[in-house]
Amino acid sequence: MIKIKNLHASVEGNEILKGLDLEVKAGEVHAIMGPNGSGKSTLASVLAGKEDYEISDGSVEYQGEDLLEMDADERAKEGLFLAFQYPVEIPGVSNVNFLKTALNEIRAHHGKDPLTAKEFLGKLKTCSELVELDGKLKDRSVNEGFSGGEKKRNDIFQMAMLEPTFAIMDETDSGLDIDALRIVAKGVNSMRSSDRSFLIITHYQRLLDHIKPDYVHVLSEGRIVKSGGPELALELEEKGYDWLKEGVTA
Amino acid sequence: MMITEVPTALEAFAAFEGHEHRGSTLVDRVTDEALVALQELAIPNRKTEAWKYTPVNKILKGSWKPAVAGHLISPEELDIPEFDAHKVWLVDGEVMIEQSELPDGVILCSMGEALEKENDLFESVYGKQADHRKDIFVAVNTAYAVGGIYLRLAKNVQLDKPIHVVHVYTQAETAVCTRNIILAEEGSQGHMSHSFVHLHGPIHSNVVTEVRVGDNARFTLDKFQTGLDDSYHYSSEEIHQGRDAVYTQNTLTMSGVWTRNDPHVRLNDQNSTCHLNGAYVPQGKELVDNHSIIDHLVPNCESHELYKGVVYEQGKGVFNGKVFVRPDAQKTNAYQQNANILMSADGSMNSKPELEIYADDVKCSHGSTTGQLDNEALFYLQCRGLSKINAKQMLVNAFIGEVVERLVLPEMQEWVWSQIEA
Repeated sequence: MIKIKNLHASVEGNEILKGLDLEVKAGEVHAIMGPNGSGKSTLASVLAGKEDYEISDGSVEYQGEDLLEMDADERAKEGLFLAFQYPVEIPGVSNVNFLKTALNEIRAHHGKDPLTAKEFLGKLKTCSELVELDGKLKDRSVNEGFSGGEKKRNDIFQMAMLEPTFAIMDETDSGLDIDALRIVAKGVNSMRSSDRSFLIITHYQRLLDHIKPDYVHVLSEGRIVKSGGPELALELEEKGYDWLKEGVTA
Repeated sequence: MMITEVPTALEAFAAFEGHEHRGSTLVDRVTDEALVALQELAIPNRKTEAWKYTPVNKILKGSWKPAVAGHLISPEELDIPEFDAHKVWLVDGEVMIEQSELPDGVILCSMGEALEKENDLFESVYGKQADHRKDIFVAVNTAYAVGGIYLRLAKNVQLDKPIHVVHVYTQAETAVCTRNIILAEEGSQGHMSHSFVHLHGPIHSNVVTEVRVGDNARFTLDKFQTGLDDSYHYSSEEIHQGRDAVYTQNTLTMSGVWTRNDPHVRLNDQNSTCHLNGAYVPQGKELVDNHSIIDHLVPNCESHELYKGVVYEQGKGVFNGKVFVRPDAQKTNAYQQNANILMSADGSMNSKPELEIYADDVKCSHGSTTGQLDNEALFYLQCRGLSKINAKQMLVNAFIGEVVERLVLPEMQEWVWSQIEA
């Protein structure tokens, strides 16, 4: 699905990713954990195509293509999805209209006709029920006046609508109460399939009680310093991150 | 620095000698006063506060000719909003009213006809609201007006559908001044839209409209402006409102190299309300200047202004919103907002709210913002699969939509969208 090799990325002259390697195969769920400032969100932004970052070395191969050559919207059209750490509020842009435009633009990219109104509404209903999104929120401006939990649920709702192939969740769990967390996890779990992969970036082990990863990686100072199974997350929860840092510098 | 001899406005319009606006004793007197003003008034320059950002030299030093009457147009080829309306054409100032049944009590005719048929009412307004002695463009208009529309809504008459006045300018190197009067008498209700189409440049159009909204009357005026790379459009509305009167003006400037809008509102009696809405999208080297004045003279009135602009390329936007709250105008509510997005580093916006408040028990607010498109929002939309160009357009539409949505008819909104997205 995606192969990241020796990725170096910097912003305003500060190198944040310093030779990151990671491979995610189809159907797998990978969790990336790490202390604040380790480069977790940078990785998410770089993969999604944010322009503020400079890639000085390395490569990212996504479904056999060079991901770094694509614009953000091309990546989305090719099935990459980013659930944002801080979903932005966009006053005046209707949640539903924007999703419809996005969905049809993605369909056009794959040579498909736009959805009929009926098909679209049916999909809208199923997906909003999945994340228990209040019907009124769908009709409002994107994230405007939404609570933190509603914004995250709205992102998962969009993910369900767009049916990506590779979804990155950038600290989707941060700041969520347990009910919202459960709903977000339900959304993700219901979408797990053999041809869809997830990269779950989180600071806390708690999310992984609800979404069972196949692999857990620890990111520290811009590199993956340790990889393992789900049990690694528990170990991190218990010991914190400091023992890993010492291990790196030693 | 070279100092060149500055001509007077009268000299700039020398070709109009013999084309002065004549009609009645009153019209002739007003015209003569305007001609004196054109001789005496200094041509505004960058040191003139009201014209600081909007150069007038191309117009007032121009060698404009009067238009020749009788030019034909193909209405179906004109890009104007289409909606159910009583239609009036003003071709180079020449008035043509399409046959259409008007409700009783609606008088719609050319200014020339009104001078004959409605002489007293005509003369009670003409030259009384627009100041041809102080304002140079109003003076030009007054001296050389060739046509225009007179609309009167009699007491308690409701207009069944809007009147659509289509101004078409067909001749290069001409200047066309048109003058309109709108009289909405007590309790009446009406809606008039003006579309402006400039076909051959360089061209200068100058439109002055005197509006009187009587007690408890409601009137809405729209202006849809499109133009060429070398069309210079000036328009001014002088609005006087009576008690409980409501006036709304929507000014949408889609194109034209030089556009200046001067709506001036006087709230003359209590409990009257005015709404001035504007949207503008200058691009290339276009300039759009919205210069409003709202004068609160009496207590308990309200004014609301919302102007929004998106400036592309080397476009220039100017907003100047003057609000007076006179000593007697207690309990005034006056709100003004101007917001702008600069789409390029070469564009510019000069925004100046100007509130002069002489009463102490009032609520007034103003806000002016100029910024760029929100990059975070842009990235968010792109991450969902929208191409950059579509994402930008979506954000621009959301921004300007707040004004466009205030247009009453969906057909008008659609047309404005088609122009903005073009």
